[in-house]
Amino acid sequence: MNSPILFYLLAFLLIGSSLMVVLSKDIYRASFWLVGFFLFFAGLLLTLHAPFLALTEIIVYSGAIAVMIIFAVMLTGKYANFELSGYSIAGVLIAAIFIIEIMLIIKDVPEFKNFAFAFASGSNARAVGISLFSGYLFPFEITAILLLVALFGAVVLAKRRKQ
Amino acid sequence: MSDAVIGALIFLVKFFLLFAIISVFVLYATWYERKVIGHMQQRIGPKRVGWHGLLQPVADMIKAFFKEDSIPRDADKLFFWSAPVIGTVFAMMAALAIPFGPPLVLFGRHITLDVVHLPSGILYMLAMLSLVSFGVIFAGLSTKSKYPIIGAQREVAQVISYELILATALLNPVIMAGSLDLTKIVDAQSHLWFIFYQPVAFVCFLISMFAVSARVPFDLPEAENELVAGFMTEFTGMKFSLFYFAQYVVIFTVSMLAVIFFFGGWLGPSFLPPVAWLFIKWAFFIFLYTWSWGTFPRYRYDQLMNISWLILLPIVIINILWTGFAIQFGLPYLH
Repeated sequence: MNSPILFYLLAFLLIGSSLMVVLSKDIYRASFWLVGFFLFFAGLLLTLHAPFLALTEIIVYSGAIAVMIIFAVMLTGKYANFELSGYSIAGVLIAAIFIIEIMLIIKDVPEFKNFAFAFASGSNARAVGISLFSGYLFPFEITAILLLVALFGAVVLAKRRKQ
Repeated sequence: MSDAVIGALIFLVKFFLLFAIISVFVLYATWYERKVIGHMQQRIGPKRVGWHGLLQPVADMIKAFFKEDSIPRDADKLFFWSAPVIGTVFAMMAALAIPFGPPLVLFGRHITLDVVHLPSGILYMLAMLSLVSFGVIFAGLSTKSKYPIIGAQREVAQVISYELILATALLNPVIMAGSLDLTKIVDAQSHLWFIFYQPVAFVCFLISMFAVSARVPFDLPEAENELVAGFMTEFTGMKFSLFYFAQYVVIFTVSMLAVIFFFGGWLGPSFLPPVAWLFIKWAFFIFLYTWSWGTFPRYRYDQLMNISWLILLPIVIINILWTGFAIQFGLPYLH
């Protein structure tokens, strides 16, 4: 499953669909391409022998988050048609800085180099669970609390509007 | 012949078998539902075409083929064409992972009775089921018409909130079996079906099963008296039938999930083959769908959301905590 042709095909589709997300004028079409992007990304994870990550990625990102975005747009209906704004240059700059940062990080951390083999042995779900709850327990719990705080914040904001 | 060629051939045979089973099921599910609903309401149901109306689905299909294909003027053509296909394709892909029996050994080859066998099969099925709702979203958005948009909004909100319950209710059997593999989950029930360990999870699953496939009493997305036909309003002919196809495939799949997770799958006394047991138990759930259609009134939209988020979700979460506790501390549990 690790053939370079598959990787380049998926990478091409990934870049193409993410470009379409940014460039399409109709926000619903952009959301359509966003879903495609998530699916291709899951495909890329599959080629890395990480089916558990790929499937949770589909469930969480395309099944819930993308739907929520579409839903929010549907309910507000404000941004149904939009043009690329003047912020695009700033966006490109931020994206470039981010990419350089990520590349620097990947260069330095040895764990990223054999990412594919970290999950290859044994049950995928079990491997992820054990590494989450043994090596990364503290960051994991902190992330959970952070999400909970965000949830409370959203509830408070929504409630305040009603009064 | 090399090993890969035989593997590919087996895959193709299994795929076409599954496709045939599902197509026949969808065709005759419509006939069967009309018959059962008819008798529940002191009517006869379809009777004219063929013996006891058995050719009625074929007649319906011919009619759907030759219907005029109309597209609203302002419709987004890309979405309008792709929406029915998206729903159907993902529903079919979810059905690919259903195991129809224990692995077979034929001519020295190990053959699993599902088209794709994955170590985390249930995750795959849930992922594909969650993508089915995109067909509905794009159908509602593409038409730029009021009723489809409201119908699509309703369906999406409903499906998302109930898929959460569906997945978390299935987590209890998964914890008990200690595996995401559907075959192993069935094997873990060889002493006692999980329904006897997890009655609460089963009830939650049953309720969310009806909601995920948008059937009575949770068929708000296509509430005829408020929304014409919901998100399907502007679709005609084959596109319209494809939405029905997708819905029935989802019903097929979640009923199979119910049997596999709570009713011991293909386990049963050995005078019938395992596949027969699976389909007998599955037929009960298909009947349950029709039964509730003939019995229950429709819920109101806010009631529907309250049931999911305020009642079922807390129950399911407490149930998961309890299951984990019981297994960790070895409370009475046959294994």
